[in-house]
Amino acid sequence: MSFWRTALARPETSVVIGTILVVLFFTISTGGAWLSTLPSVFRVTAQVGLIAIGQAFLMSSGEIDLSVGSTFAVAGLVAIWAMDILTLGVAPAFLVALAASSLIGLVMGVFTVYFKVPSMIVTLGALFVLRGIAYISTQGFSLSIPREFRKDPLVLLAKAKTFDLNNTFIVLLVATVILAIVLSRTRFGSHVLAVGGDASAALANGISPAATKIKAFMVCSAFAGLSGILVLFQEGSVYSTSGIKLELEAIAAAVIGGCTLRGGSGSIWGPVLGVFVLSSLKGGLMMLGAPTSWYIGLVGALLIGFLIVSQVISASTQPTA
Amino acid sequence: MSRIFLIRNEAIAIASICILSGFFALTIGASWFNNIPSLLRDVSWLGIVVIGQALVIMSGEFDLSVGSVYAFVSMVFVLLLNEAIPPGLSLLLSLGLAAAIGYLTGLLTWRLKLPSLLVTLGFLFFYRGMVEWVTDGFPVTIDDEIRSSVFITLLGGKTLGLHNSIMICALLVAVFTVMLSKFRFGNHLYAVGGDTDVALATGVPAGAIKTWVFVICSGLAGFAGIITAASLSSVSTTTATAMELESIAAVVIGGCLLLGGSGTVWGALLGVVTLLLLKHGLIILGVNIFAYQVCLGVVLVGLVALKGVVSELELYR
Amino acid sequence: MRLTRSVALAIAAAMALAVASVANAQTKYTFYHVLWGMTDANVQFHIRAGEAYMASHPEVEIKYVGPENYDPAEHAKFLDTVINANPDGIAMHISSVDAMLPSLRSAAEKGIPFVSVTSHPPSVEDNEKLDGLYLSWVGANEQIVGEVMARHVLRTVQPTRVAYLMSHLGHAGQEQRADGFFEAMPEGVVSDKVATGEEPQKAKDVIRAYVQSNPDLSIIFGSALTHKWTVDVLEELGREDVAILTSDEAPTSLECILAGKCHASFGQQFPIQAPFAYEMLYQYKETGMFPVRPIITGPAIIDETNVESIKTTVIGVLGEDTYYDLSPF
Repeated sequence: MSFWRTALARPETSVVIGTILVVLFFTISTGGAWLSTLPSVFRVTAQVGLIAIGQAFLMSSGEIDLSVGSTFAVAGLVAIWAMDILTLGVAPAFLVALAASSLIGLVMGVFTVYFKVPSMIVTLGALFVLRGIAYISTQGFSLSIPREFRKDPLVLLAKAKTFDLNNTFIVLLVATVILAIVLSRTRFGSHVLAVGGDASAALANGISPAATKIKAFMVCSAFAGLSGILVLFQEGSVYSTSGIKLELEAIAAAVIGGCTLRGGSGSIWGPVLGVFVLSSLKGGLMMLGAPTSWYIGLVGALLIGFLIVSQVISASTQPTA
Repeated sequence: MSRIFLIRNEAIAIASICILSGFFALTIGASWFNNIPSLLRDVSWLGIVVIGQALVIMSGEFDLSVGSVYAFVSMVFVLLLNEAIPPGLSLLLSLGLAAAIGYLTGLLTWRLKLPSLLVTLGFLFFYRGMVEWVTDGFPVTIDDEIRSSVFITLLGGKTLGLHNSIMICALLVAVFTVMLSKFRFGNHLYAVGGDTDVALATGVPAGAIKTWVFVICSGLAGFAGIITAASLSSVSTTTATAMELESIAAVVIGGCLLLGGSGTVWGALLGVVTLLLLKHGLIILGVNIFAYQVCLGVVLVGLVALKGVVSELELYR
Repeated sequence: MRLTRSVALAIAAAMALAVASVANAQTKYTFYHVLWGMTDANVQFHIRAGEAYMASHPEVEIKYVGPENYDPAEHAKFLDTVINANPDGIAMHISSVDAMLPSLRSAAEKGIPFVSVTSHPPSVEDNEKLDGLYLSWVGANEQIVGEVMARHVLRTVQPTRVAYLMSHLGHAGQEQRADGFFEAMPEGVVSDKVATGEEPQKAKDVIRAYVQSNPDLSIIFGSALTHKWTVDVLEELGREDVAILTSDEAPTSLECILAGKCHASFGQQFPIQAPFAYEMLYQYKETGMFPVRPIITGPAIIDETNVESIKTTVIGVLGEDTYYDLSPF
């Protein structure tokens, strides 16, 4: 009985059930054919997943980042500039782009914390500004990795597979483990949760909400950037439209995975499962012959469904006072 | 100077409008004034949506689904017309649909205590998906013979060179301004937005208020979509994809606090004027439209930060 | 207070600068080119060609405006605003007759000459509505584009199922192209229009799911925007048997053919379309004369036999750096 109670109280419960249902449903309904599409599903999961875990980390601190889709595009562009104009190698360009994305997080964090602008507004503004930068620098179309770097070992590594899994998916798995440990086992992680739970109580305990939140913003933007750079290496170009509306999908996945807007609690692996559920649906529905437009509608229906289910579960496990 | 910002939150929008109008009148000249009717028309289309968004934000919630509702309801309206249903009945049915959409949102946020940001995020996806599903991604067009009917010309036509939507929008702003300042609905709305628990304790029907606000917001978003469809005779699946962000930006520039409990409808409309002044000016100047995106972001964050700094300074004086 | 003063100073300085820059420009004619969506590579051809035109005609200024993404309603609003600026001429792709009609009428009332550029609506009823509202049009007949591409690919491929990828949802020209393509297919071939949208990851998801669920697919036809995504997906899924058709003389389309990954493309000679349009407007303003028949600039098939020579021409227009920036191959 207590096992069930503990299981139900975990934020990830509903997404775990959801994942099992989705896998069973598609495997049975396609007679097992769906399983052969798993490598593609993992590949898609890696791209959105890296953004979703950053978003989940930030949401644990009680803030939200709407600009991740634009950061995703700008990080790729910065990497191209670093190679093309600064004539750096691929590895330094990678680091420059990652640093630039964390800088974006830093600026947004400072505006949120010191200028008291709600994070929704700051990151909404950043969404517009960074997208504008992406449009202007691609002249509305696309920029590609300079020709001399297209066969660089690091670029090829991002495209390659290990044990039949895309390397980017392995990056996602490693990043998930690291970030989950950071959130649950380190002092920084407990600060993030404390600040998200009750900022003034955290302050009373000697934790600086300002510094903690800014760091959380930087983590979130850095992961969005990381995803952008890896996708650039995989595909060779950044388009002016790259990452549009990705913020909504990342937030939807984080919420399906058990994160809340209130902060103070959170999960890192739950959102990864959330992304997996969404990506499986996309391919699975098409295999069953449903029109592509069903997917976007279903993301919405799922998001609301998960919200309702987790609300009902948490209401039923709460001790009645 | 800084005191003005404290007295009226709308001062920022008014100042921006003065500066932008002056700037564009000087740089563009006479044709700037020719453009005013078009500007007002665009203001009225977005403005009708923003009235609803402002009410929702005043009540302490968000509605991210306005753009999708706008597209969905206007598409249903066009499809009903093409099924030879009389325009008046089509309008009523589509408005009823919009109200039902809002009621569902309100129900989920209030009864189940779900955060409106996430519920409406879900509906943003859902209704956009419905639009794409029904239309397969292709635009729907009002049949030629229906286009000239009295009702459609009333909604989408012009009187004395001005679009009727401008009058409609002005009327709606007046109605809701009066409702907020002179009726109990207004007091209740601000009370609920300020502190829901306190409001409940003092006997304000918080649930009913929040549900009504969502019904009004979706209804107005759908109505704006219908007016636009009546005027342009067609709806494309990509229409209004960034409207949720633009409408929230307008409301914030117009002086509403994001936490709820304060703000005015006419202030929010001034926020729309600010945004579209900028956009139209940049179009006439031939500036790349992507500059508008950058300006939109900078203005949004800049104004809110400025307000924060000014009120901080005032505290230390 | 000091802050207020410095802000006021900055605004005054900005205004002075703006006034000075306007006073400086001595142009006889101002034309607007209302582009259909700034995220389409092909608009670059118009813009670059316009720069060259302005260099050779210093008395003409051409301003380029257009919405970020393809949206006829937004496109119509842009046209409306541009007409209010009372320009000396407008060049534009009529993306939706119904949405543009009121604005086109008001342009005609004001006596602003209008030239339709790029794909022009082909249907008889649309052209009846547009009668007298424009001088002439320059571009390709999209219906024929589709047919020509179909005939070309049928020489080497025996299709069972063909797809057209719609990246610009609601783009009248793309729909005509797809219709022409499908109609020219032999009896019994299944044809699908697939709406992908413009965001790369989402589009690839759609393409991947479509290819996976249709093993009998033999040809994919798409725009210059979508073919790289199609190539990536087909390589990922190991479906090298599907022939890819792309569009336009965009660098990425040419490089795709050179890399042996795309079967063919077609040119509607984007680099000369816009100058024809500006010249029409210019001559109309100077002499009141204009061509009574449309100027049809395409299609011309591009495949491995002639791609090198087209590439030389395009590099001539865009320059080598831009050319390679625009191609990921």
